[in-house]
Amino acid sequence: MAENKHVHRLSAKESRAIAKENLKITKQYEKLKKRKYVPEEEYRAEMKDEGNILEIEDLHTYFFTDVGVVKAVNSVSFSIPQGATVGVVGESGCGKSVTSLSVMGLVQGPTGQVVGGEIRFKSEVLKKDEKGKYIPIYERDENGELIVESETIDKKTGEKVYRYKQKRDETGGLMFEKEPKVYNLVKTPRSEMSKIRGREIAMIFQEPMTSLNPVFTIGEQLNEVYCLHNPGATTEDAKNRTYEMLNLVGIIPDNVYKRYPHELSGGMRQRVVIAMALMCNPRLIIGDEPTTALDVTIQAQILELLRNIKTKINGSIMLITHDLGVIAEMADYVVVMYAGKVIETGTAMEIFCNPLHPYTIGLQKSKPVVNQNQDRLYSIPGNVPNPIEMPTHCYFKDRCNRACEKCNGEYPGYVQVSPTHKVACYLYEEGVNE
Amino acid sequence: MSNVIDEQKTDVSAVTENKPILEVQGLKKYFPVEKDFFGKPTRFLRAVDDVSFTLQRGRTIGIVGESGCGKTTMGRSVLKLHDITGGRIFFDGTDITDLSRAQMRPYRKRMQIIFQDPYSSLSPRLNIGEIIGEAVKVHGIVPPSQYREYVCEVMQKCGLQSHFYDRYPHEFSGGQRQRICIARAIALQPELIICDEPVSALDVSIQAQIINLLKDMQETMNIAYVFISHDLSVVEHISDDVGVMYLGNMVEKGPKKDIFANPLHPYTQALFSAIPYPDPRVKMHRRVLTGDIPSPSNPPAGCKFHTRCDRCMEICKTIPPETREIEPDHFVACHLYDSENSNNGNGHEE
Repeated sequence: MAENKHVHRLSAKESRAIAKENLKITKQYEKLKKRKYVPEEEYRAEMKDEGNILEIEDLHTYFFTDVGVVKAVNSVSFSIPQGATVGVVGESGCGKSVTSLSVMGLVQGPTGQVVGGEIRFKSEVLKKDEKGKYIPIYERDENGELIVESETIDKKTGEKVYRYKQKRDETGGLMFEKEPKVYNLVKTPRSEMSKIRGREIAMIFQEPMTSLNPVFTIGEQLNEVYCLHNPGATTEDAKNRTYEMLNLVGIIPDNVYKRYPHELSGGMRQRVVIAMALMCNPRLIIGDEPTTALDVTIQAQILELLRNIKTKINGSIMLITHDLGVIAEMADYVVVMYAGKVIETGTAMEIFCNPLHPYTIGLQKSKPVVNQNQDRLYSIPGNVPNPIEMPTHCYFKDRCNRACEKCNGEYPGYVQVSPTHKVACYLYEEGVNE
Repeated sequence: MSNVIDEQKTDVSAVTENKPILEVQGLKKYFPVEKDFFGKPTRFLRAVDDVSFTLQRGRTIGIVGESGCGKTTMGRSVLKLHDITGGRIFFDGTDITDLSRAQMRPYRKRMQIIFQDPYSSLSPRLNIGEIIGEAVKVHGIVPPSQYREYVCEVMQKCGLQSHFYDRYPHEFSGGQRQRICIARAIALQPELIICDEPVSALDVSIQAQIINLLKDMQETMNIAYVFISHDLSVVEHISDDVGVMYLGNMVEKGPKKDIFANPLHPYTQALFSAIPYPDPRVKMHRRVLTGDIPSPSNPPAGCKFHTRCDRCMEICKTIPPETREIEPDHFVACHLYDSENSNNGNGHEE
């Protein structure tokens, strides 16, 4: 550790050695990911609490860069209950985006790797029969009889072949039998992941300009999402759904259906991205700073929209932002992250009315609030520690105004303040608290 | 060494009395979007359309508005970084509207700008000392022998350690880069700084540091700021006066307290009610604006806000409202208030 002190001035030789070492490690991870056949037992899991839709436990996501290993997410655990909104706050670089990318399985490889931990997600996957086909659900009339949609005559046998009317769900897609399965998303192979991603978990990215494809029209891009996740869907079905979704997000569909992303304003683009995320009625929406690039008036529209949609489809939202105002308005539970670790979790009330961790307190004090006269803003002194050589003591110690002797020890464990409120700080350990 | 700045500052403030540092009258900036066969522009994008305000020495005017409302264009036009289409700009009592580039030179060092994005506004090929010192050299602020010392002093004022002198921008974090930008502006001992969204690209905790730094600089050097931002809470914190812009027009302006306590224009009201309040106990009664900001190249007739206004009347669709002084120093451009006035007037007559 001693020679690592001046790590920001690496020689080329040292850098090469690190790169070589990293390549060895990342190759192993990539190899595991690239396997063609992965037995299902490997990625099946059990939820700890049935009320949760997502449980993240002890997640580690590292980036193996040429200057050293960046522990972007370092032992993060929290869970998202069904139908709730969980807000994740923190400064940039604290690992909140990487956490969400880990959930989606979109961490940029080979440098970025999820090296440990579990992400359990309660998904509903389409059931397959022995032949590997999906099992359709048919509509029945009052007598319980199948409704015949069309009948054709088999040319070979001369027998009549009936096509029964298949049930459609609220998105207009044909219904198939589903079965609930709990997946460990860290180990889920890519082929399975692509069925969950977009259908069960949808993500709204921060930059609408970069998350839309510039060479396809809005209509084509939205239809694609629908067609991919609804087997047997026609373009007509997809178009209907696209129109419905665009209406929902407050855009007149005819205006944008044949347009390209660059022809729309930032707010419109963001709404298109939200429409895209909602195409398949996802059970979990991850919003990675969905309103940061937008104006306050548009932000208010989008937040209102997200809230309405959440109640409509009874989904859960994981909202990542650094704007405490947005969190206060939207979230039921708040997770505060700092330098790759969760430092405080609790309900929105607990975090805003009774913040405990000095960082949470500082974060709240540093934001000017309208109609509150402050002469000087509180600013947290110092900077986030270098992610490559993290100290062994509490990461916030050097910036903390309430650091004590004990903080020089190892990283503090969690102190349970109330059934929902947890904080990682020595100040609240028994005996210290007066 | 440390009193070089202060000495010169006192000289300047002794010479000038109560003249406003900046006065903008009916500023217009149109960008041509279509040209006819002969290259004569036929259609214009009215980025800034008739904006007026005055700014006193050592004070701050905050300019708020949605993106695309012309805030940035206005800021740049004031510095004559754009050729303006109409209106007049008075800097320290002098009309600088028609000055040539060469004539502008002596004024340049007295007015500076801080850009939004500290990542793209610093040259990656110059080290910090050169970035901050370039203009110092050009304008001959200090004799060449004191040059390095002076730059280090400015850096320290802005919270940058002097051993950063030989480093390059990529080695710094966003907050530090914005400090470099501020140092670059302050090195010339300006009297006016246009801050074009200086904290929007930064984290909350860093924002507070930069805002405090800007406030300190204002106190010690008596600088006037035009503070452009879409973050209302920041504007409220730093400004003395506030101007609200919508589609190139200044729809409301006045002292900060009046505007925030009693917003008059429906747009200002909607804008203020859209601010998320960081307290889950407070339930907001929100007036959500529908639709997007219209394109400035094809603005609606009459009052430009009437397409999104929930109190729109017939008159709004045809006649653009005039700016009226409703309370002392509190101006608003909205038909709601002239109809009220006329109603009141009628009432008195009866």
